[in-house]
Amino acid sequence: MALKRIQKELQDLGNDPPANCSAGPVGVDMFNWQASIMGPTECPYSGGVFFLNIQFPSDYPFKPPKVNFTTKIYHCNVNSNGAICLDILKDQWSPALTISKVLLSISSLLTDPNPSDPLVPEIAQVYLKDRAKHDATARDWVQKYAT
Amino acid sequence: MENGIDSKVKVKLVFANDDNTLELTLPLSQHVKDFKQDILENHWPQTLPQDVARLRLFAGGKEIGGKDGADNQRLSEMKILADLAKMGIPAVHVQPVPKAIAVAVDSRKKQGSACSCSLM
Amino acid sequence: MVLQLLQGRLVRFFDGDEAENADPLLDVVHQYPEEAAWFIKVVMFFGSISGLVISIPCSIFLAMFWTPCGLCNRPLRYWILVHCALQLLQAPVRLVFFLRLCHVQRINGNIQECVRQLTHSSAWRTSKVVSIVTYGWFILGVVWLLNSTHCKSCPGLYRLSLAVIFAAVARLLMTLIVFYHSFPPRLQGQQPPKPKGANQELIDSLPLMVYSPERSTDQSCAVCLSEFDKDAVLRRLPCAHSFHRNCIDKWLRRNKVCPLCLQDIEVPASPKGRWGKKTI
Repeated sequence: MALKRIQKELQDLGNDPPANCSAGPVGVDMFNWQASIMGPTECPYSGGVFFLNIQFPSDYPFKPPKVNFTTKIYHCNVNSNGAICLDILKDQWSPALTISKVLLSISSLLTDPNPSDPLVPEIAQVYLKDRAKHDATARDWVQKYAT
Repeated sequence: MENGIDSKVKVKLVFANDDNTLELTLPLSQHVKDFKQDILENHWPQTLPQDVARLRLFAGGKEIGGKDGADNQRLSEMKILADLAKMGIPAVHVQPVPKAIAVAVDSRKKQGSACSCSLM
Repeated sequence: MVLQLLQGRLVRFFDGDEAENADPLLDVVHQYPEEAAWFIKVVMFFGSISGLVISIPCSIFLAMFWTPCGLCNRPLRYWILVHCALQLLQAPVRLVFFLRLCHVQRINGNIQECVRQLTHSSAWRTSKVVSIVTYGWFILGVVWLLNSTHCKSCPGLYRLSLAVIFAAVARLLMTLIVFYHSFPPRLQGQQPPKPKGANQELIDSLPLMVYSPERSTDQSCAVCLSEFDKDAVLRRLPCAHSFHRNCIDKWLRRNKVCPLCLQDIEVPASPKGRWGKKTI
């Protein structure tokens, strides 16, 4: 069932692609995808493109996919290994969610970080105390790694 | 997708941060850089910012062309397009790199090369 | 007339009766129907195919060397003959079981009911008896093989018997490997499922319905993303969302909330559902 569902999602992505996200299988293994998220406008990540790796479990969609950034990003909910702190990828997962919706959620997370549940507390502190400094560093990292 | 360098491929352009999409039929023999030029000159939506230094293209999560001469490749060499075309019209996402950012990135590179010069 | 009688008998042979004693296999199917269905299908299919595959070379060998093999000190030729006959006897039942499970899965039907029917049938009981006889005969074969000396008049017999025994052992090992691969470790340790999931009783309390475009508010299943076929069996949750029965049952066993609105299935539907509150 997992393979059929993944194939259906790939088809739906082709028929109705989200504006800022692109995703597809890396090679012949349908359970391993890569994705790219274009930095949303009006946030410090604008202009950058962030690559992600997606690994579907064999019992997808009953378990969430494993998603992590492969492009470095300065964000309080993403650590240096690319791991993402997002509730829908953990206990709030539902089989009605698709990769398209997950990527859109991650895109929203770029626009609105969640410093109350940070993966990198130091960045969350900067975000809360000195927003200008946070945004400047984020833009700097976009130029370095995501352009 | 048809074999042979004379064949064409139909793609759906999806512009980042915009609701516009556009279907284009392209010759597979075209180079990526010419394709990008064509988009900027002939198909760039008026609703998007016009101060674009260059474009980045993505399909199936992978970048089409890119830095370090990757834009010199032909569309026929892009395997991801071939794989996606088997299921329908491939969606190609278009991300503009604003002039401000491109300038900053280029100056960063120049600084970097200057540093190594001073070491020598 | 005779043909009809035979046909009727054959159908009744494979149909379940109302006997009370449930096969232990049923408990496993109850907890993990999808995994159990896969496991049973694999074991039945390979069981029937391997039985046929082993019987062919054995039959050819025995046909060619029956008389010279009679001069060996142990009646291995009879052992192989009976072993092959027992395998061939099992093949039809295994194939029917395999095909019925495939059919039930294709029409999204009730796997548990199918397994219950088949394990309550005369065919299943007969197959069980034949299996026990096969195991006994297998032990006898091992004993005879160990006690037999090299047979000059029929040198291939010892090797063939050894090959048949190895094949039987290999099938047993494969069954064990497939079992451990099919089911989560919880089943092997007989630990209770996670508390967040629903038990089968709670799931069965949710109503079933047959899909009809006029009456249904949902036109596709949000779990498998497929549109509902006419006559598809759906399960309706208290929040009024419907899904394919097999799709939603598998989810509810892990987490007893609606995939679309995340409402707990044990909480009665509220007038204003949490529509789209958590989903994107």
